[in-house]
Amino acid sequence: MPTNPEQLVEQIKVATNYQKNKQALKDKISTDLHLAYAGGLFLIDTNLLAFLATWPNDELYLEDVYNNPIKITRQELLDQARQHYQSAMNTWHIEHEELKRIRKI
Amino acid sequence: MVLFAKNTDTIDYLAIARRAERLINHYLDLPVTIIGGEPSIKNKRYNTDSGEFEPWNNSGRHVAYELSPYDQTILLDSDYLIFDRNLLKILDTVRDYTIARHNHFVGNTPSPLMGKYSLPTLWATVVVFNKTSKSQMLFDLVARIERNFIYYWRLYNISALNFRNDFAFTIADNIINGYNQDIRNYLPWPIVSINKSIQRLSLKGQKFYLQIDDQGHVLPKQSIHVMSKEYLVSDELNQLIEAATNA
Repeated sequence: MPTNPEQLVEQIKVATNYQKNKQALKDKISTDLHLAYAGGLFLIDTNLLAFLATWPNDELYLEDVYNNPIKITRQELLDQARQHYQSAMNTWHIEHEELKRIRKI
Repeated sequence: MVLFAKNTDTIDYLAIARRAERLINHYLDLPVTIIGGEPSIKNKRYNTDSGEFEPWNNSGRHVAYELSPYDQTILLDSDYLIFDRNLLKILDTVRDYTIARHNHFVGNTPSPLMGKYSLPTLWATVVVFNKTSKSQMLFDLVARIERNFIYYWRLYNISALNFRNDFAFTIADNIINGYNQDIRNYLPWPIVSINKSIQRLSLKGQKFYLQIDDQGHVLPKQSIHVMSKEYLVSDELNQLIEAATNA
């Protein structure tokens, strides 16, 4: 723990910047998690994936991020959403690990 | 894609738009139209590099609706640099128009309102529109607000003293939706703006390394709104574009 006030300020700056960088990365991944499908725009998250995986009907109307009911084919959207989610989350993990590494330099 | 570039005595906006065009070609692979011409009003902007006010030719944005040769248009400020493909999702889903609503600033965070007792500012930096009657009405209103800006400036309690397209689009959107907000007209994610003088901005892999003032930031590679005109005409940006488009 630094006792010098200047060192302390420097350490706080580094910690603050890390939190800002982490948030910027989270925001970017959240943007990337949006998927355009059948004229609607969906934010892919675990709730949507679980819903699509368990709903019994093949076709249904689903609310998109613009509050519009969009007619979807469940399995088709689920396949695309899974692929999209996995890709974005893998990127997040890789970039997050890299951020943690940079912090220690 | 439509970009506006109206040169001033101090800034070559056409050169900036040409650079933005290279990134658009690489990331979005869409045709680009650059609109120039003479300004209808004289205006000034705050220069983030020098800290002084300078001439700014930002009028006439409303002609984008008429002059755009496309059925679907992404209208961008020439200082909005594309580094990802996310705007294509909006092309697939836009009904009438979409405007950026949230703006994350790296640097100073200005008030999100047009004035202390006013509406949240929309960002005309990114506007996506289809040629529909509602979109046409939006652009007609933007023209009307620009022509009568003093009136609307007082009516909406705007703090800044200069005309900004952000204000005109905010007011037009408010009027067109029955003096209300409709989330269907807004970009569902924030744009990212750097509103300070840039000492260094480089790209390594999927990250931007940014230095402003005495602070370093590591940002994910994404589209960014760069307000430092000095940086936008610099060799450093050319190198960044080379690195991004050859990666």
